[in-house]
Amino acid sequence: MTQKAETSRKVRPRADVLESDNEYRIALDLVGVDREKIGLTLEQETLKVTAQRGTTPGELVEFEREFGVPSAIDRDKVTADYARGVLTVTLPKQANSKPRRIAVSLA
Amino acid sequence: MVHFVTTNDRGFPGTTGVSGLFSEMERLLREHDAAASEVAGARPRIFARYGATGYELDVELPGVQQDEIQLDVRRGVLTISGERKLDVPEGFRSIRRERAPFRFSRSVQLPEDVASDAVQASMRDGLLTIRLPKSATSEPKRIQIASH
Repeated sequence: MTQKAETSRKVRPRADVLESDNEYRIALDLVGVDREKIGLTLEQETLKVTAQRGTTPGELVEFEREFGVPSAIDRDKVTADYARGVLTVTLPKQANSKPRRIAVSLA
Repeated sequence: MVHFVTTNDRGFPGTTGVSGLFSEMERLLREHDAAASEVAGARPRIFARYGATGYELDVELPGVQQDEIQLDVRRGVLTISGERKLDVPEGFRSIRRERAPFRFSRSVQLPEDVASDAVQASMRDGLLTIRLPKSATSEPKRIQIASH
């Protein structure tokens, strides 16, 4: 059953950003979105997230959010997972940017 | 915030002529909201719909596990309660925090025509949908007049 959207609303989803020694993790509240229509683009140092929700009849909600990301991430290993209405984007750090523990040798 | 949306979706036919009932439920939702216990000002949004076969409530609960939600119907009052925990995993530190953990409880006086023993709920993509079907006994019934 298709229904023409009567109104369209842009929403900036709430997000948490976490960091560990190995990665950055961004979590966004995106309730009830069509996972086929989640868009993730990483251009230069900007991660853009877009999504759509049409669950409430007559209303289309468009989510959009941009994040500045550090250059020292492993761009080819960025992953995303959508579960329970939360989109989690994982941005691994480049191996050489991780903190290293240097053993002090005893002379 | 309670949003009421009339709908033709999900097999619900038109909604003309039901505005009275509709605003009744809206009013009741508001009344009970005021007494609901919440923390940190975080509250899940609820959207309600009305159709020929009953009511539907959508509750936004991103990141909430199914087993962290309780639904109870008692004496015609539906109570939705639950908790969203947002623990920072081991080895992580928080750089930006906009999402709030919350504990909530919201009660809705069910309209008289709801079959409280037939209430159903499902969870998908952080959206809890509660279906409140109308009871068959609320259908108008013609009473035969016995002749003597």
